[in-house]
Amino acid sequence: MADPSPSMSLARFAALAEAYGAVLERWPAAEREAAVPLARTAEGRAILERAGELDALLDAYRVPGPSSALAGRVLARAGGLARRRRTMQRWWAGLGLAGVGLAGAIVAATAATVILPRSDAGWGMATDAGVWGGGDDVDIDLGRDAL
Amino acid sequence: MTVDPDDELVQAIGRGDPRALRTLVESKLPRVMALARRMLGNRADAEDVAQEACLRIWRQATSWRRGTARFDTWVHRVVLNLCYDRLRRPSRTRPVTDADLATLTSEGPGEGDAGEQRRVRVEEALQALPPRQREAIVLVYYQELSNIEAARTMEVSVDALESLLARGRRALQAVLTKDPAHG
Repeated sequence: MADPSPSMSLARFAALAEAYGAVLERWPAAEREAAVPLARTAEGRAILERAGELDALLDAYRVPGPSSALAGRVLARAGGLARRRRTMQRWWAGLGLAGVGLAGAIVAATAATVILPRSDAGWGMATDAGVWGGGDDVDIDLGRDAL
Repeated sequence: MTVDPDDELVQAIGRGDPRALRTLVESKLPRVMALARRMLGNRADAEDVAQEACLRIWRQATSWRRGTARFDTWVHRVVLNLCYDRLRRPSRTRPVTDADLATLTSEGPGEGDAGEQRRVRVEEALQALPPRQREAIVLVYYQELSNIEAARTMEVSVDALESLLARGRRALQAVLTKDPAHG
């Protein structure tokens, strides 16, 4: 058996018309079905007619759409932002790769310090950053220079 | 979970797809401009707000969290925040007086055809409303948000929204339908 249609009081019907106007499609979805039977009564029609007077006035308030100049300004400024964002992303990505390379160099140098036998005469290792000299404090110097 | 109609657009913005910008402007700028125009009552302010709103939406679209509100609802909130910033500026904060409302009832614009006169009178009457009542009417009547979306956008209950709508419409009715010469 189908559920009976929900009922609505005339007071609630009037309150909804006062808030949302005469067009039931604008009313809360959950209450539209219950409003339909009342909308067919004389009292309901009178309420909707009064609300419709204001709706007709509100409908007269049309506003022009955005000009093509405004759309152009938005596209230009947002496009500029996007280009700057892409440039920054590339810059950060490049910085990240450089960081990875530098970290690799540090690891290699540190490993060389630990693994290679120490010579009394000292030793030097050429890198992109120059020549790092050997000595007791070589690890500390490497860390500081790398930063 | 309900699919948001703007989901694809937001994802494209997040990917940095250059076509997404044009889609965003084509799909949202008309609604953004209409909302700003009816909240602020003049074209110059509305264009400034619409431009800034679109830039913010473009920059911050990926911060919109799916599931809390529709993207379009979030867009409305961004625009309204900018409108309120503009409404709080000292040059715009002169309170509307009874004399203003009486003028609206007794005088229409001197120039233009009847349709334009009606348009101007409604615009002035809307601007004379308290901003929250105006916001409720603009969101529900003109932007056609559901009561739930409008209440969410305004961060009020549905009952509070209905109260704002009813008070706003009563005030408009009082101003706009009293003078048959301009009805």
